[in-house]
Amino acid sequence: MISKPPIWGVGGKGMEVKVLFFGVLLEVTGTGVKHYRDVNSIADLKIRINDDFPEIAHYNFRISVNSEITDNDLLLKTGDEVALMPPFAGG
Amino acid sequence: MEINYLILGAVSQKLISQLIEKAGSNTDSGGHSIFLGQVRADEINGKKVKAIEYSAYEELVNAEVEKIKTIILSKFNDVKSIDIIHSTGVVRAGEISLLVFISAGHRHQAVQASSKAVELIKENLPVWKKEIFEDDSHIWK
Repeated sequence: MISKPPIWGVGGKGMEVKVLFFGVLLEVTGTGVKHYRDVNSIADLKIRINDDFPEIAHYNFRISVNSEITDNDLLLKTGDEVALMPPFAGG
Repeated sequence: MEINYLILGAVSQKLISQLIEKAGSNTDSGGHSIFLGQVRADEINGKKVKAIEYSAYEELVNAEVEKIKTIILSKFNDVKSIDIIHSTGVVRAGEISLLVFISAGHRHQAVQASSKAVELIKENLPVWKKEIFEDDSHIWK
């Protein structure tokens, strides 16, 4: 996947990421997509998401950034697309 | 023929026959192995499943299907073509929600590659399912 080029730099004021909620998380959050502004990293983002949706703590999920699954606490930049994905159930 | 990996609704009989016809044009192939995954009317706590609603992370599905194809081609050198289609949206019990169609020079690898592909799909495809019961309640699987 080709990443979208950043308009601004990493973190900092004025940056915004798009978060996608899949599977059961769609129900837990009531939305498939939410934008978060001024988040520096995945760890930051998780804190903000937990604040918004405390229920989410009950669910297992993996995270991808711009279509790449990651377990690392990556830094985020504006335009990044983060997906929260419960265990897959395809096939 | 251009085929996307995700299709809205059930995999139709028409699409399956189109793929069979297309496969015939590859005269290197001696065997096709076709796996069709069907929505089963499971019974859970006395309630029967009437449909499954599938959802997917489309960009990641595309990347993962490409990876699966690469793996299959590298493990099975007799494979000539691979088609993978997964449903999104609602698919009713008895309808097909997954198609894996593999052509190979010989039967042995066609069957093995198909089995391996289905296994990889189940492990790696970012697809989720919601089982919908006859009373319209649902559970996430």
